[in-house]
This record gives sequence, C-alpha cells and structure tokens, in this order.
Amino acid sequence: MKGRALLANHRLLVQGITGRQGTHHTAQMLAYGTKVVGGVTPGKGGRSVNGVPVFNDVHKAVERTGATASVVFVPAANLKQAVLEGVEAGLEAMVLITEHTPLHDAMHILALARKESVDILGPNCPGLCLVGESKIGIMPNRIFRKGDMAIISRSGTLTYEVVQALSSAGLGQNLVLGLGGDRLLGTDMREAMEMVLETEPSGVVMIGEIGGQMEEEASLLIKELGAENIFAYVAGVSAPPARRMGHAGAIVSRGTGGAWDKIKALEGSGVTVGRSLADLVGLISKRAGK
Amino acid sequence: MNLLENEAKNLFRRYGISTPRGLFYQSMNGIAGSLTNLEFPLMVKAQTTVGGRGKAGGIRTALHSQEALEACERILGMRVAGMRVHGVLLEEMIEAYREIYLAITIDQRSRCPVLLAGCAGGMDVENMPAHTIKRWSLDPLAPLPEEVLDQASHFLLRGGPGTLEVRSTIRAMWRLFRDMDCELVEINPLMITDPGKAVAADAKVAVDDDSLFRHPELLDRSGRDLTELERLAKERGFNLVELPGDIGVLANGAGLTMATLDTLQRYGGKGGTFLDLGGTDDPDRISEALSLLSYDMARGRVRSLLVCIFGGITRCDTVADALMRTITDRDIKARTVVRLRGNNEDEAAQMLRLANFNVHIDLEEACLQAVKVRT
Repeated sequence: MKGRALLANHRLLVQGITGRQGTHHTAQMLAYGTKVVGGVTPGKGGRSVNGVPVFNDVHKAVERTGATASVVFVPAANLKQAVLEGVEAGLEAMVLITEHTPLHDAMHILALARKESVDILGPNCPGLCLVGESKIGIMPNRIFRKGDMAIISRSGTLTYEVVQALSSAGLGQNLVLGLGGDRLLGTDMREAMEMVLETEPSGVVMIGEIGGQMEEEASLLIKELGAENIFAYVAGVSAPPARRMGHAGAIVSRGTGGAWDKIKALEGSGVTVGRSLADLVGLISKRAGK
Repeated sequence: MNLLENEAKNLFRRYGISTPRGLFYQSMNGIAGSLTNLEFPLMVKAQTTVGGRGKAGGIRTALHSQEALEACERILGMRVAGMRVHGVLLEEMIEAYREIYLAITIDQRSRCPVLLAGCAGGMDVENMPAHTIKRWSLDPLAPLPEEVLDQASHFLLRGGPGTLEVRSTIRAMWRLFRDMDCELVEINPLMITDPGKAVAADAKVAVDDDSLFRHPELLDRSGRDLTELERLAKERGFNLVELPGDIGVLANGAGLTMATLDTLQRYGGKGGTFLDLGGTDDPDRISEALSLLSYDMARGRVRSLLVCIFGGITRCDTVADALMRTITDRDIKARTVVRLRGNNEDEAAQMLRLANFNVHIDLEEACLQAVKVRT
C-alpha cells in the first residue's frame, strides 16, 4: 500500500546534514534512537556531523551505509534535485521538511516518486514518529508517550500541542504523522488515514485546517470503512476568505476549503470533532475513560 | 500572486495567444489623446488582482470618447473587494460566433495539472452546467499529449472553424503554465471569430509565490496589495496577515496561530493580526516580531497583544527573554498576554511574572485575558 514504507524503522540519511537545522535535528534524532547512518551535503563529503559520516551524493551514501530512507533539509530551490537523487539511489521513503517548495517542483517530485514507488511525507512537514522506536524529522523528542493512538496532522505546532496534552492526560501514541502544510503533499489525509488504520490503533486524531478537500476526502474513507474512534480538530474557523494563513495550503478560495464544511463532513462520517484543542483532548479522555 | 489582466495578456502575446487591441493606463494622463488609436465600441476594464470586478461595476462599455473617459475616471477611483484598482484597460470589442472556456490549473488530489474546457465561455466556471465542461488530467513529467488536444478541440468545436487555433492556444497555455510556474492560466472567454480566429477576451494568470525566485521580474509586483504593516513584516521576513479585529496575535506555526485566532473568537474577541513566528529560536527575531505588534498597538490599530508559543524547538525562556527586552512600555505590557507551553515553560513563566507580565499555560485562559485587557 502507498505510504507503508514510511512506517518502517529505517536506516536513515540526512540530506542537508551540515546546515544549522540538519545538524541540530540529526543530534535530536540520534538521541531519540533513530538509526541515522549517514548525511549528504554536496562538496562536504568526508566530514562527520555528530559522529555521522557525510557524503557528497546520495548514491555514494546509500552504497556505503545501506540507507533505506532519507529526511531532507535542503533549501527549496534545491529540493527537486535532492529528491531526484534520492529516488535514483533507490530509497524507499523520503521525508521532506523543506518549506516554500515551488508547486511545479512539487508536482514533478511527487509524480516521479509515484512512478518509482517511493513513499513521500511532506513537503513542509515536521516528519513522523514511531513512538519509542524512531523519529524522523523535527518533532520535539520529549512530548511523546508510548501508547496505541495514531495522530495525523497538517500542522506542526498543533501536533505538538495535542500530543503533549494527550501524553499529560495519560493517553499514549504509537504513531504520529505530520503530513505538511503545503497544497501538494506526498501523503494526504485520506492516504494517511488508510495507512494508520491498518496498524489498528485504539483511536485516530486528525488535525486538519482550512484549504483544499483533504479532510472531506478522508471523511469519505472513514464512512466507507465504518471506522470508529476517530477524533478531529480543524483550525481556521475564524479565517477570512481568500487570505493565505501562513501555510501555502491554508486558504479558503472560491467557496471551498472552509473549516465548517470540513467539520460537517467529518461529523457526517461519525468523527468526533473538538471545537477547541482543550475540547478535543477532553473528548478523547472521556472516550478512553480517563 | 495574481497578475493583472493586462500583465497576463502581455504574457499571452509573448506566447502567441491573440488578444484584442487595447491600451493600459494607470492614471487619466494621456488617455484622451490616444483614444483615436482604438476603434469603438470599447470595453473599459478595471485592473485588479482580486475577482468580482464585474459585479463591482469595474467593467463598462463605451460607444464614444466621452463615455470612455467617464468610465476610466470612475474605474480609476474605485476599489474592488477593498483592494485598490491598479489601472484601466481599454480594449476593442470582439465579435464572435462562439465563446469558449479554457483553463490549466493544478488538481490537489491527483497532484497533477488539469486542463478544463467549457463549451459556454463568459460565465463563472462554477455556474457552467456539468455536461458543458470537461477535464483532462495531465502528466507533469510528459509533454502535452496530442490526443488531449484532439479531444478538447473536438469537444469544443466539433471540427468547426477555429479548431486549429484552439489547439495552438492550448499548446501556448501549457508552455506558459510550465515556464512561468503558474497555478492557473485561464481564458474566459476565448472568442472564436467568424473567419475562425481565436482571441482571448479575458486573461487570468496566477503565479506560484514560492517560485518567484525564478521570476525576478515579478518580485516587485508581488507586494502591491499588502498593507503597510504587512509590507513591514514582509521586509523583515515574517509571515503576517492583517485582520480586521483589535487583538494582535503572535504565535509559532501556522496551525497554532489559526487555532489561537479561533479560540479568541470563541471568547468574543477578534484577531487583528496573523503573525507566525515560524520555527525560529533566535531571540532577535522574536524581538523583531514583537516590535511589529507593539508598533501596531502604539498607532492604535490593535488594543491588546496575545503571544502564544509552544516551545518545541523554540525554548519558552528564549521567548520570555525577548518579551522582557522588547515590551518595556508599561501601558503596552499591561495589555499584553503571554501563553507559553513546552520546553522550559515553568522557568519562563516565573521570569515573566517577576517582570509583571500576564502569563498563562492554558490557551483558553490566555485568550479570555486578551479579550479582557483591551480597554
């Protein structure tokens, strides 16, 4: 199934490892227990960052380290090239942290990845965490608590907020997926929902926001499968139309993508929607009997 | 960014798509003298980056010079959906035997370009009957397939006059869409004239903001509809949207910023800014963002400030430091509410309380306070 390769415990490369973000998060991922086996920065091969060897290109890095996935921190202008290299080198999954990717580059990258069966998370995403096992990306290490819920989200900080609140309430997670704030995503809400339901979580929390139709499409799937214990929060109820609220994907345009349409679609599929973050966490706790 | 119709048509001509003969003016200067170069009747059209100009009275016809000048004067003085009109386009009217609709845009679900063709141009695409419009998904890795051109031109004209011109128009739109990193290239309507010519009576082109580094010629136009505060923020590399309410909001992450604005609304408040700090942990950057909000308060547009941070990468005590350094005015401090959660939240809260800030861990409580302290 599409996306499944994202959920494996990979031998990981960090593309853009020598940058400020790449270096910092390599240390954080290692601290979490992720098997970071190598890094790539063109022209900086031979160095090492936090004890991780750096290579000039992905091909060489894969050859030397046996890496199976990468996390990408390169600037937007270089993302297309970075992904082309990763796909060509035979990686199974790639997590794209990079913000402000041009749409046409995203179309190209995602079409190529589909063709070559490489699973992509992002762009403009915080990554994912297989709680207690490995973390790929930039989510803070300390917020998680091992358990059996799954979280899928279009927003970074909102994910951290919800995960931290759940953890404090004794509601642990098994899988946390940050899909990204861009309009074109390697893994969208519906696909993520399909993926996480296969892992048979005790419940799924969806964090959506204005823009596009992803929440509506996911709610169709939920209805189709009759999935239960799905909770959601949708940000942007107060957002005015035609203004892009930070994320490239967060815009209500031509009468579509509004928060209330999404909330209605979700509730129509039996999803429990929290009207605020506190409300969401309260509803989940109540259902779990905590 | 949305281009003006006039700018879109300049691109069209460069790509070989015909447009009506016309002249563009940013002010009344020179219009009267040049009207003799055009053949009446004329269309006089407001040049805006937002839709809805027709309903706002921004599209007029003129049978003679006097009418044209009056129309220009009115249009140049108007606003459409609150936005300034950037100029006026005077164009010769086209007589057509058919009007059709063509667009290339990006489909979010398939992550692919899509070609839309409609048999009845000139109306809002949402209002076109479903059987009059067809769509073809296009492979971003491949050239435009000949069979799509065959199918689209046959669907639109059934082999009638203009078939070749429609095909070459679609080809040109595709090239433009690719070369200029477009989100949308739309012709509504494309006029098919009696001898079988295709002329774009209107033009909509939206260029992806994130691609502007590849199109430096557009960079200086991308900020033309920003407010003063938005421009100041943009110059400093911040993502700020000015909103009509009176509570300045600074948060980190687009989702959390939106959620904070939503929560304010639940407590009867209205956000005045969407200001996303992003993932920075640099105290100077935080300080700079805070200065924007205190400027907005000093000039009286917003009456309270709400700073809402989740310390994931950002450390709460760094934010506290920046707050203490930047918000020193006693009146502004009294109307500032801070909500910090995450890394070093206790330490940060204590620092801020000692400095007489209104600090909270709970988001709802902070929103309630931000509504209260407005006075």
